[in-house]
Amino acid sequence: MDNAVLVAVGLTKTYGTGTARVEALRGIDLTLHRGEFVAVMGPSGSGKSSLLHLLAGLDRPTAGSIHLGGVDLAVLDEDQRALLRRRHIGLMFQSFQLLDTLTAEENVALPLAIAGCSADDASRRAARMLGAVGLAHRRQHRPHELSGGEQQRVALARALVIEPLLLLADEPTGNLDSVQGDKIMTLLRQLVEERRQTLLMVTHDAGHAARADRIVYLRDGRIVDGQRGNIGVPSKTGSRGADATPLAVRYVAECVEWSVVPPPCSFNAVAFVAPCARDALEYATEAEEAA
Amino acid sequence: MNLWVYNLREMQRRPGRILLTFLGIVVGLAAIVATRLTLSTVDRAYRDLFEGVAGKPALEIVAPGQSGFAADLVSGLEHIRGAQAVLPRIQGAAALVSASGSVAVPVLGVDRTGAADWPVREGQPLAREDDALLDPGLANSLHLRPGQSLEIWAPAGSFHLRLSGILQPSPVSAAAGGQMIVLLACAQRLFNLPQRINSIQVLLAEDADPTAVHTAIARCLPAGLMVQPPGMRGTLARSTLLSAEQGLSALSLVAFLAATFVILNTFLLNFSERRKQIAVLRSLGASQRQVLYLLLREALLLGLAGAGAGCISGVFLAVGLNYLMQKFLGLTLPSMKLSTSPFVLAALLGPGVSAAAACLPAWHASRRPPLRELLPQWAHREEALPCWPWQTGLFLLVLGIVGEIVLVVGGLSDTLRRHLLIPVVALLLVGGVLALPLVFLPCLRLLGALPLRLEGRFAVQQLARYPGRTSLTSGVLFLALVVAIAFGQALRATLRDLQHWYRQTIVADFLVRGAMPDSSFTLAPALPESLAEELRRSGAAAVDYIAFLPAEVETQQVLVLARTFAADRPLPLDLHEGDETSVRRGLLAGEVVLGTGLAQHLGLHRGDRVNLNTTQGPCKLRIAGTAVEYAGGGLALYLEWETARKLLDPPGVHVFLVSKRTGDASLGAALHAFCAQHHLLLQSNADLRSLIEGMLNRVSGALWGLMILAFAVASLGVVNTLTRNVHDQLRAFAVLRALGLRGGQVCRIVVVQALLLAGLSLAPGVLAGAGMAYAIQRASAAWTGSPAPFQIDFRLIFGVCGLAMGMAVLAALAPARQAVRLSVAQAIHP
Repeated sequence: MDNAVLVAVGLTKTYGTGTARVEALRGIDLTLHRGEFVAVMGPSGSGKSSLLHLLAGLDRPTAGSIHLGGVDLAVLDEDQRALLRRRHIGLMFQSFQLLDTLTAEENVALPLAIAGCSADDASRRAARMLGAVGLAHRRQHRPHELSGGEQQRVALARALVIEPLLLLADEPTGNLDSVQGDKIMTLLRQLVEERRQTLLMVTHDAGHAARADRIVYLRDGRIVDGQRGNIGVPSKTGSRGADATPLAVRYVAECVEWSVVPPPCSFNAVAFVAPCARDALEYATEAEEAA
Repeated sequence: MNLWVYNLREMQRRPGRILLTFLGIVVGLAAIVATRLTLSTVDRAYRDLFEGVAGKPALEIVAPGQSGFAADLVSGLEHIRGAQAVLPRIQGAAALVSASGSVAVPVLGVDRTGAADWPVREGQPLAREDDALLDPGLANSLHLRPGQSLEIWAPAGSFHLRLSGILQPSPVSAAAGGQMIVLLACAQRLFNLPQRINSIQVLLAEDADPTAVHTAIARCLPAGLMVQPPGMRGTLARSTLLSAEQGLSALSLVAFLAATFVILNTFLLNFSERRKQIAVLRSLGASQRQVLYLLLREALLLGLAGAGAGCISGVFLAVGLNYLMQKFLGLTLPSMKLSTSPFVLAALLGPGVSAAAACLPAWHASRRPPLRELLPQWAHREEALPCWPWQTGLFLLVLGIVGEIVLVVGGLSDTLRRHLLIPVVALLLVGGVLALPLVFLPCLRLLGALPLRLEGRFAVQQLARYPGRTSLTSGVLFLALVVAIAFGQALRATLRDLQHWYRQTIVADFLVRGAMPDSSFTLAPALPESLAEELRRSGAAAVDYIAFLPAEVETQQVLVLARTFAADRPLPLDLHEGDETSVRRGLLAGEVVLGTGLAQHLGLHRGDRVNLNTTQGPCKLRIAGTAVEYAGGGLALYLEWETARKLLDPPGVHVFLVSKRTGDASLGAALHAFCAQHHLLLQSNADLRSLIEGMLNRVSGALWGLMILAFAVASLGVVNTLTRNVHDQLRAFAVLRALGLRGGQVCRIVVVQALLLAGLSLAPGVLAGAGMAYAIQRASAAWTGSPAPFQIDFRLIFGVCGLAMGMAVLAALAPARQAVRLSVAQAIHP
């Protein structure tokens, strides 16, 4: 826990009252360590986005605590959470959410301008970050002049320019084709490793989730399979999903869905695509032993 | 990158809307700047006319009716402590004859010592008794050069003077439309004042206490003379302008209010459109205060730019207004002085109003939780209308109604009533706009329940979906309707009353005078009474005469209309209290007839007594009756000619009223020949009526112009709202088009929205407008005493309603075109 960036305990979020009451999250415990890449998966309505919004300080939990860098977000007011986001949280959205009237460089510099950085310093840092995501040559272009993948890279640069403690990505590949999505994932993985960036990503895509160090699976507002906050058990080789290629994972998912026997593969690949983690775990173990 | 870049980019993004907002600010401020500049110019003109020696502190001693008094009084005042100089003067008006007609010219008679105060630019100073100096503007306009002969008509008759020199330009003489300076002896001849003067100017020492000097002088004066600041004689003239001033001020307020609501509506639309962007900023760490200041900054920028352009436009508008006022007043106005106060006011109001209008939308925008805007399920939710606007509106309406009741029956002084009328009207207008949703929205819901065609259903749905935006837009239209109907009614009622008064009082067939006076009768050249006999010899059945004399009643400056009343003709008065027989008897017995405005002001009625300051001192006169009178701004009274001669010693006759015998067609020609020979001004009754009506038409034209401006500003709001509505409905339109709806039907949806916005404002607007018209008439009757009965002017109401609908349809054209031209594929899949 000494290098824990985020510790969430007993997170609960309820919307509405009376008969319209909906429990989006029910007592989530989650810890993120420095440099860790965590993917959050689950069916629609499982509470993935609600979890991300709470961790980003965009919403307040009904119960529980969220400590980010030692500060409890749950007790902060709107402006204090904005301040925290300004300094410590980078956000990426599915629909990029770039401002159309600003160029790529200006979009990236926006968080620095909000934080009160000088114009020159903000521009310099933004240019550098755009270079890091491979868009230095496009920095004067407006969002509508960029492809979807390029826009998401700009969004990534904007999220990272403040050197956040925590990077939160809400379906970052949701609006991208597979090629562009893969590129974004590669970039994210690279940045996590190079900068020891802590990243939590919500995704529907199992293949992309496979790139994470750890997967958290939500169902009906709870983390599935125990309360430990992770269901991935390291393989005998010690790697943590390095062999769970997107293609393999996808194939396994389809097999599971169609109740077809999957081929031998890393049990991690099976674990996070199966509706029931325990069954998948057993199945995958048997498959490996058979192999 | 700094956040200013974001502000500027956002403003560049919607140039049309920014331009509309900017124009709203410009129009509102231009109206205020123009009104203030014009009114200050007019005020200055009347003040300068009487202040004599410009810039030097002074007092003047005058007699009632500008009658004469002994010149040796001057020596008795020279010892007064604080009096640096005591200057005998004669002041009056004469008709200067020129090739293009006679003009009324103020004449100042000065002694030889005083002549040095009037340096000449060209020619020679005053030397001979028949020398005269002229203002350079007047000399140029009449093509007069030193050495030429001048023919003038004065109370003593027709005279020929020699133009000895042209004066150096000065603000005083320019303000008077030109001035003629003659020696005192000459003036005594012109104005029938042998050994007498009619004014003493007392120049004060630098360190003198004006009050102390005033008191010391007053103690030395014989009965009948009064000491006052030189500009006091302008008070009556200025009071005639009060109604025009109020009308202009009220309309500039309306233009400004309409602009404010348009700005508010625009900012609501702008910030609503940018909800998602603002949510992104908040999610990136911008605090609520940062967002608020960011949005207010845009408003301030617009306000500052609008203030600059408004000031410039206001100056141009003031030039036009000055011209109109000049025609209305019959006075040459001095060149407009660009005093700082209108511009300072505009500089404060522009950004102030813009920021105030943006404050609430910006506050709401900054307070919205970012998550609500970022999640797709919130994207097309319907807007809920908060309660506080209509609650505030009701409160303001109640305040306004209470204020109106107080104005009518509260027994307040005239001055307080005049000052309170505009704020009370503003309360009623703002309250009405804010409370309008209470009426408008239920009507919209009712319409929604009706079996309308597709276009109607869609139009109603869209308007009902954004009640805030819809209410504000209809509110601006409502404002324009109320103002047009209220002020239009008041104006037309006044014009009707004026025409009735005119028919009652100007009953002669011809009018003969030296030159046209100004509208306040301050600059009215007098003619000798003996001319009446010559006019009778031309074949007139009767010759009556009128003189306009400034006097003082109960310390109030008034205009005395001294006239003859022919026994064999109807009494030429629009009586309010008293019958013709008893009033005529009273006038002949030395009683007075008060104008209703004066009677209301003094709180007097028929049978009461009023204190008139005469040449023999204060004199209590019985009031024989009251009559509607517009001269002197209603602060007028009638005296029979002989009574006036005894009490006020009129200098001469200002207007001869000549009546012909029945069937006599030759009198006109005879009078024409007579007047041409003697260089007098002849007007037929029809001429004068068309002159007055022309003047009134110009005034009402200017006021209608301002009202149309208010409608134009309101239509900017409609354009804004419909453009935004079309933008919101693009996807829906695209789907409908994909399903087979024709372009014309889409156009109809937009136009129907405009018609609904205007149409649903009509009923409340007409009712409120008629109510306000009644309230304005009652309130102004409380100080004018004008008892005209209230009538609903249906032609006006239909006309204004038609104008409102027409402007709404015009405003819908551009947004409808945009809706028809949309790309279906692009709109369905953005």
